[in-house]
Amino acid sequence: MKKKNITERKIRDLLNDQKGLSAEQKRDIEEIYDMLLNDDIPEPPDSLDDRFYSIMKDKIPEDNGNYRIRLSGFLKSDSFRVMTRIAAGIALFIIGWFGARITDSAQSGEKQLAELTREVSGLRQSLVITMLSQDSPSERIQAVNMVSEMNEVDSKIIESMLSTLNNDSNDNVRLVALETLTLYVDYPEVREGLVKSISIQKSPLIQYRLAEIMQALQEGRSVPEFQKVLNDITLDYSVRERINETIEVLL
Amino acid sequence: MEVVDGNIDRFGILYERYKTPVYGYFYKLTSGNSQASEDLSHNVFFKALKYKHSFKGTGTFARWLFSIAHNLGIDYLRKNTLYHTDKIDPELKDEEINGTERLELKESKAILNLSLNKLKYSDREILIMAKIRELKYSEIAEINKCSESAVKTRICRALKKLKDLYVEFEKTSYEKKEYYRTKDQGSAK
Repeated sequence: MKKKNITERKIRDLLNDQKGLSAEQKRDIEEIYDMLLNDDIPEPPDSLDDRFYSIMKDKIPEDNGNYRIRLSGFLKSDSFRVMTRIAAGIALFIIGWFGARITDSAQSGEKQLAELTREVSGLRQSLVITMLSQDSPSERIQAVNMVSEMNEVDSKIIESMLSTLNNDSNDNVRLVALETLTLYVDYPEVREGLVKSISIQKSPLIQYRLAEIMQALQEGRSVPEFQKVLNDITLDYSVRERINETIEVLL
Repeated sequence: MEVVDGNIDRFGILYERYKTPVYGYFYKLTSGNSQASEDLSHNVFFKALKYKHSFKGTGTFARWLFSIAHNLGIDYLRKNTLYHTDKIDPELKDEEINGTERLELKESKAILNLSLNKLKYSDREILIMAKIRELKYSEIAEINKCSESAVKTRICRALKKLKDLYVEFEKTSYEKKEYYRTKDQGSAK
C-alpha cells in the first residue's frame, strides 16, 4: 500500500508540472512510468555484504562504542567462516598430535613440532586451493591474500595462483593474484608464469602492472611477449606507452 | 552526521538502508550485469566511507550517495566505451537484441527492460534515478546540476521515448508470435 502511494505521488508530482501535454500523452507517460516504478529491483548478492563488512572491519577503531553492527558483519563475513575452518583443522590436528605424543613418547619433540608445522601449512594450502574455486570473488580474494601470508609455497599453490591470474573472470581477483605472485618472484616457475601471462591478459590495469613488474625484475624474456601485446590495435594508449618504456629499458 | 563525527559503525545502518537501491541503480544501468553492479556498488560504499568528511549535511545522505554512484556510473561507461564498445551509449548490439527477443519478449517486464536498454545513457540514467523511491526530483536535479523543472521535463521526454520503444518491441513480439503460430498451423496441416 505504501509502495503504491509513493508511486502515485511520484507520477502526480511529475505530471502536474508538465504543461502543454495532451490527455493522451499524459496517459501514455503515466502508464509507462507506473510500469517502470513497479518493475522490481533484484536484491544485492551476499558477497556485497561480505565485501562491505570486511572494509568496515578495517575502518572501525577498537574503541568505537557500538560493537553490534561490527559483530553481525563479522559473523556474516567470509573471514569468520574461513577462520572457523582453519581453527577446526588446527584443533583436530593438535588433538591428534597430543594423542600421538602420548602413544609414541620415543619420538623427539623437535621432529614432532616440524611435522605439526608442515601439516598446518599443508592444511592452509588445501584450504586456499578450495577457496580459489569458490563462486564469490571476495572469497577468492581472501584465498589469494592467505597465500601472501605464507612463508613458502609449493608448486600446487603457484600453479593455482597462475591459473587465477590467467583465467579468473574478475579483474580485482586477477590483480590481487598478480600482486601476491610478485612476492614469490624468486621461484623460477613464478617468473616464467608471469612472462607467459603477459600476452594472455586483456585488462589494461594488469597489462600496465605487468610492464612495471617486468621492468623492475629486468626480465628480458618478457620483451617478445610485450611485442605481441603491442600488435593489438585496440590497446589502451597509456598501456602502450608503458610497455614501450619497459621494452626500451630491457633491450 | 554521526558517521562524519567518527562514529563509523553507524555507517552499517546506512549501508543496510541503501544497498538495495544502489545495487538496483547499477543493475539497471549496466543492463543486468550483476558482477559489474556488485563491484560498482562496493566502490560507492567504499568511497562514501573514505570521503565521509566531504558530506556536509546540507543535503540528504541519499543525494550525496547517489552523486558518488552517478560519477562512478559515468566512469564505468567511459571505460566500457574505451575497452569494449565503439559507441558512446552502451546500447545492446543487434544480435543480442534478437537473442533476447527470442527468449524474453513474452513478458511485458522483459520488453520494458529491453526498451530501457535501448535508450541512450543519459535518458536511461535519469529514468533509473526517477525510479528510486529514496530520491526526490529535487535531489535528482542537484545530482544532475540542473533545476527541478528541467529534471521533470527530461524525465517526461525520456518516458515518451521509452513508451515509443516499448510499443515498437511489443508489436515486433506480437508479429513474431503470429508468424510462428501461422507457420506451426501450416506445418500441422
